Amino acid sequence: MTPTLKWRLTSESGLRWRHWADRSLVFNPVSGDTHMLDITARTGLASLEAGPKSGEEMCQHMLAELGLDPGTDLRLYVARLLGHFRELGLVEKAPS
Amino acid sequence: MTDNSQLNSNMTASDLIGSPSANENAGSQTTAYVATESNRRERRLLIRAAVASVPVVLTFTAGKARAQDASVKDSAASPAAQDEPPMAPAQDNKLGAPAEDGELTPAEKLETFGLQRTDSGSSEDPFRDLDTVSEPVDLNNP
Repeated sequence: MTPTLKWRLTSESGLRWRHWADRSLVFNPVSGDTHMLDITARTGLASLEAGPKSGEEMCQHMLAELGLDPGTDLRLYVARLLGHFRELGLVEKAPS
Repeated sequence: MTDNSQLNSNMTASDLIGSPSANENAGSQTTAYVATESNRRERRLLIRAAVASVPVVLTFTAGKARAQDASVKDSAASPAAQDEPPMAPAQDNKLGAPAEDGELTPAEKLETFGLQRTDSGSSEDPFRDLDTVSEPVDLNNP
């Protein structure tokens, strides 16, 4: 049985957000960087604010939040998103 | 930077898109925050197109914007690309292989979704063709 890897935000104090209709700015107090995200990337990152999540949990959250067909496969997108977010210092692996 | 007076991170995407009831109730009082039916349709198409492509994240560091979109990074015409070292040679997409910048390793991808890969590649593995470009989505014929 493969253990499921969970991801969490690097900032324990949370992120600072500002939203527009289809874009959001997020400030990461850990890196001091500000990032602009589209609504899909925003939804993925915001899903981790409630606590560490696996890829599948992020997919379910995004499907519901974005109002997508429940059969939509977001795994490839989420994998790429997590790769980007880790490189930017926004997320890290949660201890198992 | 933390002005969340009108919108906050607890809002769902649907909140940002606008709800039909809010629009109907607004009548002639419709504000810029209430999306029209046409705008909602357009927004949903944009979301569907976005999840079928590479995530785009722009980073602002000391006033300088840096694109994280892989397609932008690869472009020789991109100012961001000129500041960065050449891309590493493509890695063999096998378990244990190192990831390229901004990518999870193949093992991490599987562990993130609780999947297990066999040597020949499991049929449930959605990442076998990770390095191939996704098929464009025909938004008029889902």
